Amino acid sequence: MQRIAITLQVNDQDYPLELAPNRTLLDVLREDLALTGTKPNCLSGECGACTVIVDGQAVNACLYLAVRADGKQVKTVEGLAGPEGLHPVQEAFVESAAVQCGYCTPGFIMSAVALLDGNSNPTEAEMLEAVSGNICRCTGYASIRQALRRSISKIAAARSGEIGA
Amino acid sequence: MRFQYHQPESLEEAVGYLGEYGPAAALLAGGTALLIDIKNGELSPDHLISLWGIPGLNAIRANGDLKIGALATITELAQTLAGQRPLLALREAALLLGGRQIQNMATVAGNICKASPGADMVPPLLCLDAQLGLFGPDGQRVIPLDGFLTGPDQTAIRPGEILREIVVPAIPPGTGTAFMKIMRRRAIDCSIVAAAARVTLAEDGKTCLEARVAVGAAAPNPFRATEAESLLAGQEITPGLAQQAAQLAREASTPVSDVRASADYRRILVESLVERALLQATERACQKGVN
Amino acid sequence: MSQHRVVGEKKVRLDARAKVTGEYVYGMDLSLPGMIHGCTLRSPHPHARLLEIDISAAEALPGVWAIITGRDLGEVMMPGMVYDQPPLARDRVRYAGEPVALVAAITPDIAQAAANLIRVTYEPLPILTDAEEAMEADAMLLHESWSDYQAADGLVREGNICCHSSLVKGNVEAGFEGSDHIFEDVFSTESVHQSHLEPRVAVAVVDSAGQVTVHSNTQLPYWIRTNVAVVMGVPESQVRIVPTGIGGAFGSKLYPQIEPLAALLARKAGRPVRLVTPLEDEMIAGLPRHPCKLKLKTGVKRDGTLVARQATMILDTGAYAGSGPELASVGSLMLAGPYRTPHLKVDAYAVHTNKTNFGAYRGPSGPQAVFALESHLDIVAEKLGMDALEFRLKNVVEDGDEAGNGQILEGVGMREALEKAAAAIEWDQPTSPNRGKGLACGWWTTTGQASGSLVKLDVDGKVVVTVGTQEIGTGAIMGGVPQVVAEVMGLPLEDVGVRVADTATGPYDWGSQGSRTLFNVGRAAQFACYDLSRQIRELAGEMMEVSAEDLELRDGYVMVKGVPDRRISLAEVARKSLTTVGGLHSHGLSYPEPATYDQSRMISCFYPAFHYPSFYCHAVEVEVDPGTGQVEVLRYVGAHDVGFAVNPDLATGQIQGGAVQGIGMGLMEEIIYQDGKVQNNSWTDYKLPTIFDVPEVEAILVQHPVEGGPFGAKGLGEPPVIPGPAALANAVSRASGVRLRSLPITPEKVLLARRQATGESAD
Repeated sequence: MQRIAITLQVNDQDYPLELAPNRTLLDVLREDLALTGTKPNCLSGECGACTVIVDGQAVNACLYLAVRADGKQVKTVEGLAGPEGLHPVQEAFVESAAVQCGYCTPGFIMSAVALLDGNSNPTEAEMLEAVSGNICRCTGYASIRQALRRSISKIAAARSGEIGA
Repeated sequence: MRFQYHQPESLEEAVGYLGEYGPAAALLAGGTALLIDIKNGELSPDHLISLWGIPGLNAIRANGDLKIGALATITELAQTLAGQRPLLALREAALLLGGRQIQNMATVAGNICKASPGADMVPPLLCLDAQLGLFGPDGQRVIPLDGFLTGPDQTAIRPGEILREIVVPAIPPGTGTAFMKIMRRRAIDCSIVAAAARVTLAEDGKTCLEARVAVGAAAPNPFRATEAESLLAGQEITPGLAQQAAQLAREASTPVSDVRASADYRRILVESLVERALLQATERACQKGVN
Repeated sequence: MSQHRVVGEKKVRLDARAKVTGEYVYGMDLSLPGMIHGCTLRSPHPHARLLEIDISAAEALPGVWAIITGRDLGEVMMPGMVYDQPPLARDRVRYAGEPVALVAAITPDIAQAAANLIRVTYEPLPILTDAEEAMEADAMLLHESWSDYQAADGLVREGNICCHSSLVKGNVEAGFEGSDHIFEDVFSTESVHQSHLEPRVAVAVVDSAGQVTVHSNTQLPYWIRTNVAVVMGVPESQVRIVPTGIGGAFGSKLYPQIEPLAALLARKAGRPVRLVTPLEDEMIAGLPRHPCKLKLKTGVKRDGTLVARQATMILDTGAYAGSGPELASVGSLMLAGPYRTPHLKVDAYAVHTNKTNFGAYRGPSGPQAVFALESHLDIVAEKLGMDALEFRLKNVVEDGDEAGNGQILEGVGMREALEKAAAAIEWDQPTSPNRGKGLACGWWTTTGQASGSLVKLDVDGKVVVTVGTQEIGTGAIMGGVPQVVAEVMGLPLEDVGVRVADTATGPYDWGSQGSRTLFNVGRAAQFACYDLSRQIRELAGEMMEVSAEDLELRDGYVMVKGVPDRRISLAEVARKSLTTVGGLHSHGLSYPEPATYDQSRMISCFYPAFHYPSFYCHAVEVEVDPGTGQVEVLRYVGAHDVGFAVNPDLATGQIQGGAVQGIGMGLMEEIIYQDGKVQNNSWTDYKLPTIFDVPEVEAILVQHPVEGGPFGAKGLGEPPVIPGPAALANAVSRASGVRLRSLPITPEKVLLARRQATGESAD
């Protein structure tokens, strides 16, 4: 069985791996790297539960072959919180009561982070489009909209804090 | 899914693999359709040839013509087109294709080559007279997109050929385009019916010099409603005329009934959407200036 | 100023942090050492004799550890109201997707490959897919030995009708004679799937002594335990169900689908086995909502007073009885509705067809009944020239009225919910062309049954509450219950911990379902805390040389009432208790009295009354695109009488989430069958609402506390999903001029109905 040597850089950590080419990024993250925060569900790009960030772009890890991620920067939900605490988007989801069963939550958070990493002041339309590929069945999306708005405010506040400092 | 994975570093090398493995090989671009087909058992290639090691394939160059490389993603195209009014239909189609994650992964070229009856990028590209640059064992050739799709999931690509770029010729001034698609919900869905229109107006800002009308998901492949286009040429596009053109487009469509919608409904939608797309394209053609 | 410190407040739930960091462990994340993988082979035929199964090629595949077929399981049947379902098909398959064989192998790929090598010989039989046809006397029998099956006492059944529930009040014929007008309507709804984001999964281990442990993302561990025990042929005490984290459930994960199968494989393989139901299988062979046909006939006075209603509800219950009998009973109560009606005759049937045995989906039988009743009453009001809101206000029940089953109603917030929802949607304001408003109301239960809870005073003065059922996402277990505990124990919420125990170590619980969780687990925790508080005060009293009656628990301390500086911390009491009496702990039980009702009115009704009923009204405004039929939901308001909102954010979340599920069922969701086979078993073609499909739902909490609920709370989990489809149908009718009587109300149906109404043709 063919094995391809790659280096997967996940959450700023390098992982040298030898992988069968048919393995998805989702499976490798969860099974080989014990990063189970990224969730499996439809396995067909329809629900967004498996969303991770590859080179700044949100992608469905279930449809992304792991070998394609060689040399790319992968960010998962586990890479967000730091010694200072939760990422602003994570905080926002908690504060806005936007977490019920929570299974869709990492995917939504990663889509939001991908948006805000690239554009810290998105419009409401851009905010919604960023999560257009994420399905939630519990919240009805209202609290998620609030969490996204709160995320934008937090990041704006942090930036003006930096600028002011 | 079991396959050997190849990472050619040039188009020639990729073509070489295609020649070697023939129908047992599949090309990996965005992979969003391919991986699902493999999982469902509809395709079982023994060899996957990744295009991602080939430099320059993901470039989008806008210099008179718009040249879209084989690996340019839907998102990259939408971002490049921001602010380009005449090409709005193309951007609109890109932003309605799947969810954001799929847009970040899927390629324009892949959407064309998969040749689904509902391929959303095709109607606006047909309206823009897009050309396809193919590279194969016999060298390069350029052919129009119109005619390239030969049936559901079928194209006129030759054995060993790779679509390397899509070329959208420079748009004449006074052109407006529009794209509309009806889904079963308001986001992330295939088209039940899609329609694209392009209107190029004369200097007088009223007479239509040329029109293009393309319909998606209402026939084995997206198609140009050429009778509708002929009706509009040289005329002022009034609501009444747009309606007549829409009727011609409806008559030219051959939709099926499937799990998503009935043929009857699709026919009605073709007419509604073509009419609206034409009127919106005309309105956009009238608006001078940037953005 | 609130009289409460913690309950009634918008506190952050205890599991929020772990869920946003990705640390929370769901069933799908669980992995055990030495675990191998199971796979289910399912029937491709909706109806067939199963003649032979040849597993030889499959067995020979390297890496295969165990294969099981129905022949290996003797005559065992799954427990239920009717014992009609084998765990694996034996000599007959009755729905496409029915499990026929199980494989366990080293990898999922090998298990699937082995399953593909199993040769099954079927003899296809005629298919019965229409429930009404299945009711006819000469219909083919799906269960030829139906009368031999063990079944609940008093269950009225015949042939393909596995339950006929009836509710009779007064005399409908006399009622119709006394009516000024009589109206009749027919409605239908399709199956919709719970569509939880996390798949169904179980990991089973059977040790060499025969002890069975199944880790499952189930909502109801104790019922799973019963089923696993029966299928394995062992005593229940030999089975332990360990609940994992759950990524959504909505009733889908109540009944045993894979736990007994995983356990069988684990026993045969001698290895832990993980069994997942992939999404494509879940859509075919899960436990989605019952399709339904309904006929209503209502007699009214010319001033709009309701006089009589006759209703028939035909629930397509699929191949096996499952929850059908119970739901027929619930449906009858829903068709009586929250209305004063002197004469009622409701006949509800659960009928077999060759489809999956439909199960329990949030508010089961509710949306179907309310879609019919609330559409019908709108039609009646319109024909009488009455405003739809006025018509309802005229007829809805008030405190002290009786419901259709004779139970006397208390804490009835129906009128307030109606008025507030209507006000919020600006009911009286005219709408623009192509826009319309609609409303729908209803009632629902707070399921009773038992919940236990254990509380202990832990070191550092924290209180840990242990419960027997898992958090499914509503926040009842990880939000509401700890708030109740914190309130009673005088603690900040941070000092309360929640543990979900398994069936061997924890208290019994009838599960996270039926809008019962916060009510019952909350009450059980409350009672446990009252006793723990008493024990603490007694020990503290000894320590402080003060009478226990003079002490209260406040802010983490035990203090003398009115003398705040005479106090000791709970931490000190905890330390003392550990060294003197081995710690302080208590338990509590919630087992509410069943509601009383008039038994003479009900026959074969296994859910005859609604317990601490709640009342609700949803109001919506839509815009219909006349050229495409698309319906845009512009505004959505849900008003719910919740008794008391232990956490307003959690309550609001239930209303908003349920409303969107209602929009899904109303406008876009449908499991499409053709010749007994599901055509759209993927999320590509089963459309769920996205963020773009729904407005931000406005939740209105009506609070009339009921005695008996924790701080007056009633159940809320299910009602929000119930009235949406009806409210939407009523709004679409006003916006487009067409009345649609079948769900979902797709753009195609709207457009084609308009064309028909205006005489235009499609060509």
